[in-house]
Amino acid sequence: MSRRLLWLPILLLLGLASFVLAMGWGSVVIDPFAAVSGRLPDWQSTILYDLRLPRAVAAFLVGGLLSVAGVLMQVLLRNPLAEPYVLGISGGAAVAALGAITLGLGSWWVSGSAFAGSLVSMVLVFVLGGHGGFGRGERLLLTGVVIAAGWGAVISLLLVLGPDQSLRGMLFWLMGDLSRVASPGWALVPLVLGGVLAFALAPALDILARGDDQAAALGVEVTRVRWACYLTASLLTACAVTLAGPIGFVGLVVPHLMRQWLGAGHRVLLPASLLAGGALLVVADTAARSVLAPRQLPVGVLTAAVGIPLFLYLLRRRSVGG
Amino acid sequence: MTIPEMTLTALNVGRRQPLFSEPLSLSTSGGEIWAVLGENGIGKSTLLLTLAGLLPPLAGSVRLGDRVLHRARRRLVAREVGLLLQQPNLDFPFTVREAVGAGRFAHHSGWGAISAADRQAIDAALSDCDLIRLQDQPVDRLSGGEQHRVALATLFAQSPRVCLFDEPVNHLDLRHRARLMSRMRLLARDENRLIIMAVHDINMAARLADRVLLLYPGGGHDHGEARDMLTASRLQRVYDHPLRSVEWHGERLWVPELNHWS
Repeated sequence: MSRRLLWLPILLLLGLASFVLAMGWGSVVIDPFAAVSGRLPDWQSTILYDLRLPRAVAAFLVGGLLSVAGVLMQVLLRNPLAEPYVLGISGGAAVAALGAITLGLGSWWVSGSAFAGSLVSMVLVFVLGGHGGFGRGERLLLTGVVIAAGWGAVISLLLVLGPDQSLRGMLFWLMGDLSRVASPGWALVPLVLGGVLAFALAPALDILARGDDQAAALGVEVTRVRWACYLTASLLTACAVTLAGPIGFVGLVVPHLMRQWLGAGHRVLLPASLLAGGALLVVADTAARSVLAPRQLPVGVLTAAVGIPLFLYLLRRRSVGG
Repeated sequence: MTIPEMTLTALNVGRRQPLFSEPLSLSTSGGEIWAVLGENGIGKSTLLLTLAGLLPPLAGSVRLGDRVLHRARRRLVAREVGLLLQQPNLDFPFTVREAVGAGRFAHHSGWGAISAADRQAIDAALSDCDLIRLQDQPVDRLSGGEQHRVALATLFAQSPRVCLFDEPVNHLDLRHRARLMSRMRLLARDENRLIIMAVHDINMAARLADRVLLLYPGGGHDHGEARDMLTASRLQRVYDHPLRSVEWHGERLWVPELNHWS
């Protein structure tokens, strides 16, 4: 336990390092430390503070939100391979956001619709799948998966019917993209609140991972903890989707990696996943806007490109080892 | 430690359909070992879940002392009643020690640091279940029998006055099976705990239990002293299959008749 705790400051340093990288690297290389001493030309400060900093902050917040949500969702569904979008939250957000884009509304409307859409999806899954004591994980999972599939069909319909000039924007939104985020600061509030709530639940989450009956037999108020877990995870995911659209694999790979590395105890796993998820997405987004500069890739493509092979490797090593 | 008294009053159990054709009333108290016998799917596990207060009864009540179990706060119940489930559900890579430590959850305030008493209980449980050597291994990589021992050790760390076991010797090899049976006898005889176990092994019931609850196909049931319950005619009714008994050093053991259908 204590040796594992030592990794948290190291992950924090990695997070800071990722910011330095994100500030410095890109189509123009800027020394971020020179900015501190005020020796930068104006156009470089503009790039740093108006373009790269908000984007790095957004990336860190989204990575953190998704990773914490992933940890919670995995306990809730008692499946180490669940991801935050598995219950259809991104689908609901996408339908609403694409609807707003189709109507030609501005970016605030798109974000607002995405948030509203994810809440609608969350309530829908909860009402249809959580009935009767909100006990059983499988029913919630199946309900979420089916609803997600339903949203998928609506998304296809919107893509077919949508006007040609908004198609590109829709596709970028669907792939997860941080280039449009102007003021991400508000997402710090849900991240901190959700993080604190999840952290407060950590001892109960350790027990809940043993299954509902076992957890209840060991003294956990299962229904209450599952509720808190579901609402927190959903709201965190909704905030992440609102900021950046659905970015895949972060919420799946990061908690999984941290669990293999630091163990399953949530007191360490939650903060470690938050920091690692944030740092990972900052680095991934820096790469996404730099690799083919001046062209920018949607960061979701890059996380998939890194996440899928990494995940398959982990899965393979796990089954060979066990 | 006060001696626990668990009282079942006009009880019927089930998730939707009641499992008993007539309500079940019985009194149990610490120091006793109860065996519940019945065929697959007859409702042994459902009964144990109800006794643990995890499933509300369809009729009647389960009380421990004067507390109605399914209405009480989970943490309070978990200090008194523990349940070994058939499936250990160890899918996450906790270490064996962490997993066994889960048994202490009800005894401290959740975020409270692990006390010396907790540590002692965990150490004792690990050693009782022969897990000291494995204590730093991740539980998701263990074999079925080892995972079952982790679940048993979790229950022992919880140290409840009422211990409910659903198939306690599942997956266990002979040595661990024998150790567990001795341990269960000790829990009842020396520590005055109440033990209720659902088992398929009639001989385990014959060797350990003082009292037996028989669940017949069709929802009937019968309970009483083990020597009165474990008879050829009753067991044949329970399992819908003839049995033969053998006397062995003053104990009566049971084997099923084979080729009964030919």
